[in-house]
Amino acid sequence: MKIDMKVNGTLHTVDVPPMKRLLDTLRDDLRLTGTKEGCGEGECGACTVLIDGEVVNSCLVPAIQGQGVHIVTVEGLADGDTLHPVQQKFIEYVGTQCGICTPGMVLAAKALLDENLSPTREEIREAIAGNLCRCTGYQKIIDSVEAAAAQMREGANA
Amino acid sequence: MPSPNPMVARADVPRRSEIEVHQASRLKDALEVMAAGAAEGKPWMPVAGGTDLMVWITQRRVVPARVIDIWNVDGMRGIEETEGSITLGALTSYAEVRRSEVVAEWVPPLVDAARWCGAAQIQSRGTLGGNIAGSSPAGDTLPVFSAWDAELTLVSTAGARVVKFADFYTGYRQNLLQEDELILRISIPKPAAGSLQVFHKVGTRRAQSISKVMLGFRGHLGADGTVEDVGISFGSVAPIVLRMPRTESAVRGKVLDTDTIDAAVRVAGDEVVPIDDVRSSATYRRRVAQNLVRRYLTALSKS
Ligand SMILES: Cc1cc2nc3c(=O)[nH]c(=O)nc-3n(C[C@H](O)[C@H](O)[C@H](O)COP(=O)(O)OP(=O)(O)OC[C@H]3O[C@@H](n4cnc5c(N)ncnc54)[C@H](O)[C@@H]3O)c2cc1C
Ligand code: FES
Ligand code: FES
Repeated sequence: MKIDMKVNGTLHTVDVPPMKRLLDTLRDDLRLTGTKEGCGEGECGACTVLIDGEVVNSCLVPAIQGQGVHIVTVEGLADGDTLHPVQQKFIEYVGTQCGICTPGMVLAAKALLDENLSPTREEIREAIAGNLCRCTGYQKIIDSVEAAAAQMREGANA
Repeated sequence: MPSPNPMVARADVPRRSEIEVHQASRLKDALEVMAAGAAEGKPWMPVAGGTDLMVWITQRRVVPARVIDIWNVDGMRGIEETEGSITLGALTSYAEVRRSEVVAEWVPPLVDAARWCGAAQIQSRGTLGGNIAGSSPAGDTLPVFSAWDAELTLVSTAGARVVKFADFYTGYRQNLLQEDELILRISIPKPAAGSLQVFHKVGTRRAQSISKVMLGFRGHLGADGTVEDVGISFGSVAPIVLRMPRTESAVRGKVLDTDTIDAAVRVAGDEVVPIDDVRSSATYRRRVAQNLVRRYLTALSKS
């Protein structure tokens, strides 16, 4: 089945079985391998992408529901060589180790900061509750998101 | 219709790529397709947010031959307030419930239930209709619909029918939905002003965990201090979401003194029928249910 989906601002037409997971469509058909698979069952958030600005697990979205919506993957965050503040701060504050959870973490954090530029640490925890990380112990991820929020607030005031 | 039992993995199921899919955008179209499928013995299974169905397919527990995508069907989304009730379209997501001022004003426990369903990713896609039709006894919103006397509107090409939420489940994972029927909306009567309203989830962690026990509780004292109205429902302590009419009778019309509360807690212990499973023992669940009944009857007595 032919499905038209906009990914990171570009319109693509993919020809896939309609119940194929969006995760596999992104990775196999569009070669966007930044989106990771962890559990395949909605628990870990490694496959997180944004659909029309909302965080979703792409392992739970059938490809057909990509029709006509705007999908943002981790590849769509940087502006050329300039990283998104969330990405930049994950590097500076060591919010990433093995990296498997990172694309999903970064997108969940971005979705939070798009709605709330001054989250508390508790609000950050809630926003990433569906993103599991076995490496960092989470504190450095929360530090990174806080730092990104501070930078984005400065940008918004400048 | 018996809901397929998603707890059992099966070998005799189609491959994901073989599933036939129809994407509906108008309700009339969806219902006609479903009616035709049911008539020819090849029914269409709806997919709304897919947060249950996609997992079942991946685990090869429920793999329908035909799926109808209802995510974009018109007239099935949105929250409205009428004089006596609030109405929620079946496709309303947890995220929409959390953002709704109407729900926060009239039935705040539904906001609490939505807040702790899965995590943000699940809340963007998971729908109230999917939680109800999925028929898991651990569905987090179900104790609220049950204790608040909600009604469901079911539709097919034959028309709409309104059923009491209390009558919807007929057994473990069994419900009144016909193969050609959709849940259209849920309607919740507004509780009396000044009611105590509570949703309490007991789980291993607040987000992303299947509940061990959940309680929906609403109560209201009359001018004379007696219990004028009360609704108590539990999830995960019986094969279906469990309304507690005997416990309610033990307090309705009475003053909530220590003896009355003690008696109601004893009745509650008899009324729940929990099981042992991987998440908890039956003994633990019964004790937790009784503690919650005591806690919120005590809170009501002071309200
Ligand atoms: C990681 C994870 C965490 C979760 N956490 C929770 C939790 O904390 N609490 C909880 O209660 N649930 C939880 N769930 C389960 C699930 O997210 C919810 O039950 C959700 O509400 C299902 O809605 P959906 O729209 O995604 O359903 P779908 O998967 O689209 O459908 C589920 C079933 O309902 C039927 N259906 C859907 N809509 C209709 C309709 N309008 N009319 C008729 N039939 C319909 C479908 O045919 C299917 O059989 C979790 C799931 C995952 C993967
Ligand atoms: S791979 Fe999708 S949530 Fe784990
Ligand atoms: S950095 Fe390894 S899982 Fe998070």
